Amino acid sequence: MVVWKPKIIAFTCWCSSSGVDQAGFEGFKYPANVLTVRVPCSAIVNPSLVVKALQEGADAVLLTACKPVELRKIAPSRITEARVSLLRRLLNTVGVEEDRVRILWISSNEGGIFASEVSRIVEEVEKLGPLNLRGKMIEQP
Amino acid sequence: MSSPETELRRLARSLLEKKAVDLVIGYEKSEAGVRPCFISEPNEAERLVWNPDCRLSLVRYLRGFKEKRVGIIVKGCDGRAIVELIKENQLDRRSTFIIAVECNGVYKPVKYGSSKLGRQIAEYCEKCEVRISPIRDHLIKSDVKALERPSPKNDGEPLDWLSLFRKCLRCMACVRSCPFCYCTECSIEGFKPALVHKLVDPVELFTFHLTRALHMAGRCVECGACESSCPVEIPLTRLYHELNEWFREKYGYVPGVNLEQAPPPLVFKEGEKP
Ligand code: SF4
Ligand code: SF4
Ligand code: SF4
Repeated sequence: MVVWKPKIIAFTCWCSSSGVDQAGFEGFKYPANVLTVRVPCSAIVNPSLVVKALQEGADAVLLTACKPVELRKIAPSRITEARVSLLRRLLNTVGVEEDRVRILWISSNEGGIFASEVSRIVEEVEKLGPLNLRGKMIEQP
Repeated sequence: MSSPETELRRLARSLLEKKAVDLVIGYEKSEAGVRPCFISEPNEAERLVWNPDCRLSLVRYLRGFKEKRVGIIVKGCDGRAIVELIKENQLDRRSTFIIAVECNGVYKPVKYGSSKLGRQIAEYCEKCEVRISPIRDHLIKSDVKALERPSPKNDGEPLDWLSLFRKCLRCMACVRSCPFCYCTECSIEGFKPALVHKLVDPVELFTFHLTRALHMAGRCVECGACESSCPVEIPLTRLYHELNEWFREKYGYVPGVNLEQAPPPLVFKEGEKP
């Protein structure tokens, strides 16, 4: 029997992807079911793409972004945060667990944090079980 | 006092005679109830009607007459749509003459083959709090008392949205009828590679509906045009209402009620902390 493993897509911003790289260099172990997609900035991720990822079979989507810092007047992370919060509300409404979309604040030197947070998230998604939108929408009697 | 309909005709006629507007957009009688009409001759003002079948928003037609001065008949929700469109720089307030008619609620559409008796007030009208357009050049009061509003009944119980989405035919009537879907290239249909392919895979209805909901969040004025034109009766406004609630809770923002209030989170105050 094939054991189900969650598929997780992580959109990582430029800065936090160096954090992810660092996790690799320094030998932090994190589960291999996280696929990373590198994007210039977390705020460039159109929420429709997150939805599309869920539709195409991802069990959860993760956005990693720089911490909203006080230095900048307009922190793009703040836009990401608002969007994710809205998207979670929407998912909740249509009956998909909102915890399938999350944000992680990762700076470029936080490989260790990334590794430990991701392991925790994978465990939580395992508890939620497969999303299986196709099954819910189509193969239903 | 004359009926709103008479007053409406008189006003439209005088506006056209004085050449204050080039055109009046209103409703006229048709076999199915009412349909939109575009009147440019004073004599034709007699065609205008006003009744609880005038449910479809006329605001979406304004974008077809950008060069003209247009008089338009609006209900409360349609007026809110105009406010929101002005904020989005899609409308010129000066070339639009807004005829606000006090709205007492509209009927649900009669589906083909069903009887005309026992007409029901639309669900989104039960929640409505703005019955007169907040922006207007002329107000026509209504003479009938408000249609009976049943107390909102199925508000609490959650709907099975996934199977509702599954019914969708991808006819795009909801997009075509909405005042806010003015994108020349809709991201649902127009992009290459496409976000959603027409007529391919039913699971894409998930992305279609969530995308549209995200585009309507904080803008939808709950006029119900999408839902009334939907051939399979998906209660779309209830989904968009939920996202509007998020905006209300987080930013205290209600679309279309205040022309001065900027739509969040597009606008940041200087020095505001993230
Ligand atoms: S989404 Fe529907 S209810 Fe909302 S403004 Fe558009 S047509 Fe009206
Ligand atoms: S669904 Fe979105 S992209 Fe398409 S027309 Fe409406 S607002 Fe524009
Ligand atoms: S009007 Fe109804 S059936 Fe047509 S695309 Fe919109 S939701 Fe789907």
